Amino acid sequence: MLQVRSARKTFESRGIVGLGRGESIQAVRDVSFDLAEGETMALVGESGCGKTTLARMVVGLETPTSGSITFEGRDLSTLRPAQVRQVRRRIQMVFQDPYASLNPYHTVERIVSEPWRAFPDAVAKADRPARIREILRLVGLDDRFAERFPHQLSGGQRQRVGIARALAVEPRLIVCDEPVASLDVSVQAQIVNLLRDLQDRLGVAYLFITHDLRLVSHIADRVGVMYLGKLVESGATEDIYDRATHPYTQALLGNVPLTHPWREDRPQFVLGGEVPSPADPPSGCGFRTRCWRADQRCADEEPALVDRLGHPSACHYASFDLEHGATTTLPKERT
Amino acid sequence: MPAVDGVSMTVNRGERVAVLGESGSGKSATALALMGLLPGSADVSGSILLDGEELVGRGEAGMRSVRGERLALVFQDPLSALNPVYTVGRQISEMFSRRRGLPEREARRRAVELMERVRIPHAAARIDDYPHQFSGGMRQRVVIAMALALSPSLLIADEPTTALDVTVQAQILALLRQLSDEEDMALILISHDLGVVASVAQRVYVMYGGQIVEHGATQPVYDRNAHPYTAGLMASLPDQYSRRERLVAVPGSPPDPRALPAGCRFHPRCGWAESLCETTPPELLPVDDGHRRSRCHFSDRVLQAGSPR
Ligand SMILES: Nc1ncnc2c1ncn2[C@@H]1O[C@H](COP(=O)(O)OP(=O)(O)O)[C@@H](O)[C@H]1O
Ligand SMILES: Nc1ncnc2c1ncn2[C@@H]1O[C@H](COP(=O)(O)OP(=O)(O)O)[C@@H](O)[C@H]1O
Ligand code: SF4
Ligand code: SF4
Ligand SMILES: [Mg+2]
Ligand SMILES: [Mg+2]
Repeated sequence: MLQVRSARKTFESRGIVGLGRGESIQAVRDVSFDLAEGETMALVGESGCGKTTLARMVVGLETPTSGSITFEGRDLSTLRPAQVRQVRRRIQMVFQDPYASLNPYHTVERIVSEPWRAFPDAVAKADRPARIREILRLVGLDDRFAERFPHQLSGGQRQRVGIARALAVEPRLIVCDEPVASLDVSVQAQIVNLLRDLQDRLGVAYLFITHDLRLVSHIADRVGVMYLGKLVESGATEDIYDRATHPYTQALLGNVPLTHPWREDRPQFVLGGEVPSPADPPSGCGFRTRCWRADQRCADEEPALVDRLGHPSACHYASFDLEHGATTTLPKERT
Repeated sequence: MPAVDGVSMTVNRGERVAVLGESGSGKSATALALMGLLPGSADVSGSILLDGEELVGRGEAGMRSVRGERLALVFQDPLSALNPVYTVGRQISEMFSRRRGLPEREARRRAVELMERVRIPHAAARIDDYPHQFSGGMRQRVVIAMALALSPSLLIADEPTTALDVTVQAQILALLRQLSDEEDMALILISHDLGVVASVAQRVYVMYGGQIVEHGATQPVYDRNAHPYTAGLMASLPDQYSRRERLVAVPGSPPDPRALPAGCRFHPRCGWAESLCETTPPELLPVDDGHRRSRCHFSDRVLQAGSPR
């Protein structure tokens, strides 16, 4: 249904208030993946790795610098504006911050009906009041909520409204950008369960973006791991959790704080260093400044995202083995 | 309505304790109370003991003498603790020159030492950099270095890693563990994250609606929950081992601190609630072997039922 091919996005920045030279920030670098009807693909990675930029390209809020995005067989960059609108209707987005993404002066009813302004044919005028209540019930809000304003809602209820708004035009794909990151754990679970129920009932596909690997196993069929603008490993959820071969994926998994560390025999994993600037990525492999397997080849030759040990991994030395990666003490900073 | 009520805590030298709870549960208010920084209008009842010494009700003058020297605080947002127009070196060395009266050169030498101790790479070269030239993780290290300057016996860290990425979070948590061991410094870690708490703290205070609802050594509290809220948090936490399993959500949301429910503050969300819970607030009472406490009318039943994880 969705094909992303070598998508790239470079932002030209002018530097801080005119000071310093301008730089190009390579937010997304040659990302390719497919998403099938009714499927959930999770994109995981730390802040700044390009997740939101990729999401914004998929929903058309950002144009790729190069590469293509094809939805239901049509390349979005070659369509005429009128056609684009029809395609757009079928791809909706749920944002991270339910506080910022809802207009504080509009009622829930008005917020949910907002997409119908752009797509008046979606639902006949006469049917709209009933349809809104139907959608609200679908996301677990009863009729009373239609008249309320965002400030009268809890964080979880606001995110339900954000999801209701996305559903109003019956999309086939919903891009969820960190939909539960700002919610309390006990409320996160409600929203994750809601998204799953909606998928079961409506068959909608999700591109689910998160920095929290713990969430992914509860919702995703497939996972793509991003680092410094690139996909570094992808596969079925089980491939990523049980058979990760890229050192960054292994580090991410090992860095999730364990709820019951005393039940585990592996030591807590600490990865040294920090993500390099996307304005000046390292030569060769982007992860080499933090990688315990790195050698000269990693600086000279960029590893391609190709099948290695059963699923795609962008590491010259793809391996199930953690080697020296697992450590309880702070590793020496690499320079 | 008091911001936090009935909060009694003890912390011993070199010990690592955590305060765990969702937003609005009163964790930060507790930290501020510990530091004597709550505004006059706010009300803290209870008792907070550090090495057997009472901290609540000391008043501003009494607190000023302990702050920094005996107690230091690290917040979630390192930028709010740093002055953007001064170099980090100046901000750290001022702790030595102002508070300890060390000459400038000596204070600067000690600042580099501290930056090395919190593992800031190339400390000597970075001492004249400004806060904005550091990454989020490195800034939090700078703030920790400032907190450590006067060798406090207790460090309070309020969500110190919440704004950081998971790999940087792991670095900072490892640093806090190491520092508390090396310096024999007590640590109160405040967090909403069950995993973060488990990786750091030997004991945990679980807070809900401005009260401590469960308390004990971390492992038994996690392995055998005595309070329905702790059990609910455990059940709702996603974990990387369950494959496409449904999460068990706690219904509703945390209470508005301005409109707390009568009776047990958790009753509108509690699967164990009976009519007694709607009217009668439960007390924090010893359970199990007596080393743990739980604020629930039916703690024994909850313990008997077994924990979700
Ligand atoms: N409009 C923009 N202009 C300049 N740089 C941007 C813009 N949007 C994002 N970036 C940069 O691109 C990189 C990727 O950002 P983003 O896609 O938001 O990452 P993520 O969502 O994974 O945190 C970051 O370095 C960010 O600062
Ligand atoms: N949403 C809110 N509305 C009003 N007051 C709040 C809110 N959240 C927190 N407070 C104030 O802070 C107190 C406790 O919250 P806080 O200590 O900040 O919780 P935490 O740090 O656990 O999120 C409350 O009693 C109240 O005074
Ligand atoms: S290619 Fe080299 S640097 Fe990159 S992840 Fe693999 S071993 Fe590490
Ligand atoms: S006292 Fe009642 S409502 Fe409160 S936690 Fe216990 S069972 Fe639930
Ligand atoms: Mg983002
Ligand atoms: Mg707080």
